[in-house]
Amino acid sequence: MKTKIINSETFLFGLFSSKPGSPVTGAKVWLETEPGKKLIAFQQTGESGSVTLAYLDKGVYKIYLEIPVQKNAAVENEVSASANFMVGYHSKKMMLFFQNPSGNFLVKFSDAENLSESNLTPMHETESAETNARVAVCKFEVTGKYGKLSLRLATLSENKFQKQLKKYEHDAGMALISS
Amino acid sequence: MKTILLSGLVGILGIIGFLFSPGEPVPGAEIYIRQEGQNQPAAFMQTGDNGKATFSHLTGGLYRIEITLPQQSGKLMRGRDDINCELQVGYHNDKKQYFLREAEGFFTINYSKIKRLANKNVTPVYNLFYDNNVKVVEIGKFEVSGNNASFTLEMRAQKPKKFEKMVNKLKDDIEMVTIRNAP
Repeated sequence: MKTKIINSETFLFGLFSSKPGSPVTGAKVWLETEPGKKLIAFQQTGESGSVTLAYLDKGVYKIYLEIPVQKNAAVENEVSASANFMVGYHSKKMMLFFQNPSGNFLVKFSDAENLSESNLTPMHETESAETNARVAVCKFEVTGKYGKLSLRLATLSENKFQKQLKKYEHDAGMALISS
Repeated sequence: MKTILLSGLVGILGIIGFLFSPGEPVPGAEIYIRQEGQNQPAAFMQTGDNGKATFSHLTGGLYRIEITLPQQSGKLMRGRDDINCELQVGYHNDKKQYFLREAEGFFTINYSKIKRLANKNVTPVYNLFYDNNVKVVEIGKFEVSGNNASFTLEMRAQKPKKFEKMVNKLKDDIEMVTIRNAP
């Protein structure tokens, strides 16, 4: 009986807590020291689009992503790769929205432990002009013993991307980094 | 009240566990997780000051664990030729502890926080090779039966005498597997 109740609760929770976007599989995630660019961790996202980085020593780190081109990508829609793309960060929800030639994306950070100010500094820096070049999406400082950070990478349709931005545009925690 | 008592007990047990974990953590070891049939590693992590690395969100499939061994020195190598221990590589299935004795040092590797691995364990192996002149040891393989599998690995260096003592204490244990004896 107890199991049945738990199962139905889990089912209902699943129904009402749907995460926006579809998880991106096969994206490469690098964690490097800053400065120095020493590789500390690397992982390819699986079906959940998630990666967890844990047991990190004190220091400053940068996260880079290499994202496979998505179906909703600007290059597939023949939009100029040099067009202006939107980048936004919601500091309270730890959500980074960005558009680039590979598509429209949402990075949801979570499980932040022992980070300076319990948050990260969002960014969107591409390493080269190539479509699937590495993109630095944030840097953060581990101040306590053994930092931890998880991220989930999801792709959004153009419509959903704009809807999400609109939903949060008046929130105090939402900042537009560049456009 | 019950919660406070329980939290206190967990805290005390944690401190005792920390104090009695033998050996010293190994920072700077490189851990590679390779999926069968893939050229690029599925994950990589360098151990930090506590000698730990964690891997999560692994999707279904067969994986291999490969490590590099940072050279140990001082008290962690003193008396390395004076120990009475045949075992070079072994694994205790219950404790999920891998024993490895190499020119670089005497190591124990503990697996914990295992989620969604087949048999809830890692199958120990020993396969030594060189990758761009770097010595790499394949220490285990595992199968992810569902999705979002995870585990944590803790690498510690032992003093030779301590390694001998640990191995000799466990050698007759039914859960202890000898993978290779010292040549």
